[in-house]
Amino acid sequence: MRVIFLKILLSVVLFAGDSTLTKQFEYALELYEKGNIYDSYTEFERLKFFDSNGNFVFPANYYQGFCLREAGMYELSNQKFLEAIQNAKDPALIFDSNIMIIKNLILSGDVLAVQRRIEYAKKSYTSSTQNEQLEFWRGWALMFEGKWVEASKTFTGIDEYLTSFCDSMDNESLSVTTGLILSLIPGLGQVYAGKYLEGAVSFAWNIFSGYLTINSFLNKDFAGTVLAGNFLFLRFITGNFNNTIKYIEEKNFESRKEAINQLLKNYKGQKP
Amino acid sequence: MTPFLRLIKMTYYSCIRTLLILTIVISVNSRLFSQNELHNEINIKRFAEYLYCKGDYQRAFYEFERMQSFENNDTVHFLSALSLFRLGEYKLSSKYLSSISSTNLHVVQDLNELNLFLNTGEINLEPGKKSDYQLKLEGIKFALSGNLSNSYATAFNPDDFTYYFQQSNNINTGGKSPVLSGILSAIIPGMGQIYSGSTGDGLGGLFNIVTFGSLSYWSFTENKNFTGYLLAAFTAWFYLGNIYGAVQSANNYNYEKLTLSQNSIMDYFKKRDFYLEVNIPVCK
Repeated sequence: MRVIFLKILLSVVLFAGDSTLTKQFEYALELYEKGNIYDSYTEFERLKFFDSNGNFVFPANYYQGFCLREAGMYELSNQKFLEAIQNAKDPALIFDSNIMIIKNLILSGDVLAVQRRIEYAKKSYTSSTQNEQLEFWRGWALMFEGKWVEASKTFTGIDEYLTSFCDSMDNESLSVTTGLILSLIPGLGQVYAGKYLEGAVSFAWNIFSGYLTINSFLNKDFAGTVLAGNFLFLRFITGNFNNTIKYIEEKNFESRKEAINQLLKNYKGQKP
Repeated sequence: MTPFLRLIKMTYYSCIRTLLILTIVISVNSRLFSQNELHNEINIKRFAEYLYCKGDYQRAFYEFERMQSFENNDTVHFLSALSLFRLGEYKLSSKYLSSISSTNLHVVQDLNELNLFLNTGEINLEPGKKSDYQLKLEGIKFALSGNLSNSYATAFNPDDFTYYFQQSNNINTGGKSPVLSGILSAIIPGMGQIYSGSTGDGLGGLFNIVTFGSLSYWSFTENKNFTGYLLAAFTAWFYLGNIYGAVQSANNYNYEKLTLSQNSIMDYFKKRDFYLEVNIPVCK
């Protein structure tokens, strides 16, 4: 009789304690699923605070990472995923948290950190599936950076749709080298970047300032040559090259932004 | 069996029964209200204090707010006000402090004074003797304006006073005169900037003026009058700009010096937790 009593008492105490935390976990998760991420974060924090055995440290940190990610706080989100990794026992969950960190880094635009993280992760994960997944995210990071050729190579054999997407984007993007060669005729590089009016104005200024400089030189007006050459011609010719690079980069950035936004909306596979 | 033994046996079984019923009641209650257990008065307070100690003042404030439905007392109001103060919400913090009934507590008065000081830069100077804390705030206010005098020495510990005094002195000494800087640049272009610590700007200005002036002179000697006038206009423009730049350079120097000293004072003040004597036991 005494043994039964002790068993009941023990199970009640243990079960009640566990049930409290489980319900708190369910409550926090419910808030998260409803999109109430601020309160959900608080409730996961409460769960961690009262979880003296540390049984819920991994899931709480993991979901807090998601809350912060949804709030756009990628750096803080990664801190939570790192805390989750430190408390996770299941290798699959550790890998998943690592992928979340990589996805956050892609969204925050830190491509260098993505590359570093992937290289670091590749040392620990040697299976072909995991390697493929890491390469897949490297491809996404390269797309965010606008390195279409490298991204296409990375996606080859992993995702056909993304490979052809990168190839088409590479064909569409403008080449800075071509733009600079065209700029040897003032304004033509800017026309190549789609800035027709700017190209025409640049052409006119370069011709006019060039004429003034040469004219002053032919008239043996040394001071006038320096003045027109330094403050007009040199300024406009430099501006011609600088603007060509600027406009090409702007155009490539805009088309990349638009293409990636479309991809994030329409692509059916995994997205960062 | 003797009646005595029977009584003992009956008592024993009745105890076991009571304990079993109690256990079942506890079990049912704990299942029904188990999650609420973490949201009861004591646990909300514990969690709020933990958040406060962790520096998550916004969430701590919300938890203290929740506590008010259980215990609407001065401690809760004060902790809410303190969280708001840490969030930089000085006005709102003062509002919470005003709902505290025991206003004679020095820590409540101090926090109120500090909220006013950090919000408006003013100190509540009602007639009568100033409190120690008011004297400290007044000392810091004068230090920030560069006017801390020895009469405030007793308000701080010697090391703190020495620091505030030095920083305050820095504000009013070693500044550069904008007028002198302008005059120097009018006499020798760039000299005002060099005097104000912007040597590179000064030398650059001097080079420009000398170059354009010389080219202008050379153009006139060569009878290239149009170019000469154009370059002379450039030279005059640079010359005037150089004088204006010298005045600005001195102003910038003084502003940077003032900001640097004021920031050092405020940082030192913050490091001392604004001299607030607030003890939250769980934070230790």
